[in-house]
Amino acid sequence: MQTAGAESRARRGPDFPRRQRERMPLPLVRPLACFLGALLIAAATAAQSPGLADPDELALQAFTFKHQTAAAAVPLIRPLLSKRGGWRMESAKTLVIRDAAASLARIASELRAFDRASWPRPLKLELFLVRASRVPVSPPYQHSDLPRDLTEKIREYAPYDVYEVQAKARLDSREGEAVAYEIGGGYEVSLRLGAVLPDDGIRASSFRIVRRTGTKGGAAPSDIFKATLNLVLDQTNFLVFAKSEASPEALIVLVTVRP
Amino acid sequence: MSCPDWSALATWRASRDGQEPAGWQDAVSHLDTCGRCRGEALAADPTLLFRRLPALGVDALDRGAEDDEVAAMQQAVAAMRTASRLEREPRRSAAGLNWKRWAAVAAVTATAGGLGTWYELPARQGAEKASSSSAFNSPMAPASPAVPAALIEDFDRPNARVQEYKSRKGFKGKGAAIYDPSFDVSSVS
Repeated sequence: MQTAGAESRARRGPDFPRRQRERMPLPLVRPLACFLGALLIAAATAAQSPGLADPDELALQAFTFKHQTAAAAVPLIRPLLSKRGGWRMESAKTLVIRDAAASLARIASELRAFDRASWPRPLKLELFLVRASRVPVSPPYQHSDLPRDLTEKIREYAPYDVYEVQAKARLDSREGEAVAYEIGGGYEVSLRLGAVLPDDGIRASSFRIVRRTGTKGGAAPSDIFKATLNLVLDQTNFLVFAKSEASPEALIVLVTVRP
Repeated sequence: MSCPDWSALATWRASRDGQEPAGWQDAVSHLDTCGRCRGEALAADPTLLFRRLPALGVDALDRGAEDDEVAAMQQAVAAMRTASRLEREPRRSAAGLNWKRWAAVAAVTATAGGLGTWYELPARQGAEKASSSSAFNSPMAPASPAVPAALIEDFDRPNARVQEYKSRKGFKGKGAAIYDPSFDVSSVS
């Protein structure tokens, strides 16, 4: 009895086994090739995995300025650095910054807007400090010291009955300048204006509201708010401070930066 | 070394866009040890203040990523050696060699793919390796975020709740409410 293989060999002639051996790879080559193919697919999959990028990873980025100097950029970027961030001046025109990716991205946008021949651009800063309150008596009473259209807009977001302007200021400032404003009632507002971004955004870094007479004795100032604000140029931006939504009174700060 | 003329040195540097005049290195070395020079030097060139800050250690920044790079490079070299060895072996058959070639190419490609990915992952890794190069004016620098930024950033008050208002028709500004039971915003008596 002849097996199918033997029959086939017979049909194809005596030299078939030798040719067959030549054409076939070594026993280990095919599994090895399969393994490497799988490895190739795995590598390609891993290459496309977005999870490998770590947004918290520290990185260095160098900024070389065309119009400005590295020293002039330092006050601008310092408030934008995270707690892990740092900087170093490589030369008079080059600043090297180490920080997480998110911080580097916003610093880069700020420095792009900063590095121009027309820096710093003059700006007008308007600050309103408004006390808002609800009147728990009947008939309802409503009053506002703010312009009517602004009152209507604010009331949509922060529905109070009375809006009393405690203090207001219109200050001539400019990009990159630090501003501190002492307001009656023991409040102090300070900030540093950033560069006007291409989309008309402007950062107010180290934006801080402090109340000095709120504590007994008035010696120790209490921080109400400290953050970076991403404002829109020539638009009214507002912050409402209250103990809760149901609180009968609130402090509203309106900030407008005009070109 | 006696105290140099900082004003002249700084003027020379400024007029040549940061190039260092002769004797500059000696002068700054002298500055590190001379208290009398400090005032005059800083008045002439305030950036000298930053000279005393500790430099960032690039090699200590990201040891894990560095190890990954070394491992990937070792794999790449091993794969290339394998390919080279297979090429040198006597050609017993054209078909068998094709398999070996294919396997070697697959190995090298897989490794090279991993290498390329590693460099692409954070573009900032490239900046880290070449910290003195300019990434600022290059298209590789991160672009501004397309999404409008939130009004409030970097706010660190653990008990506070921040509620950002969405822009409504007719109001293009930004607004946010910050609620915190510890706020002292009561009327001033």
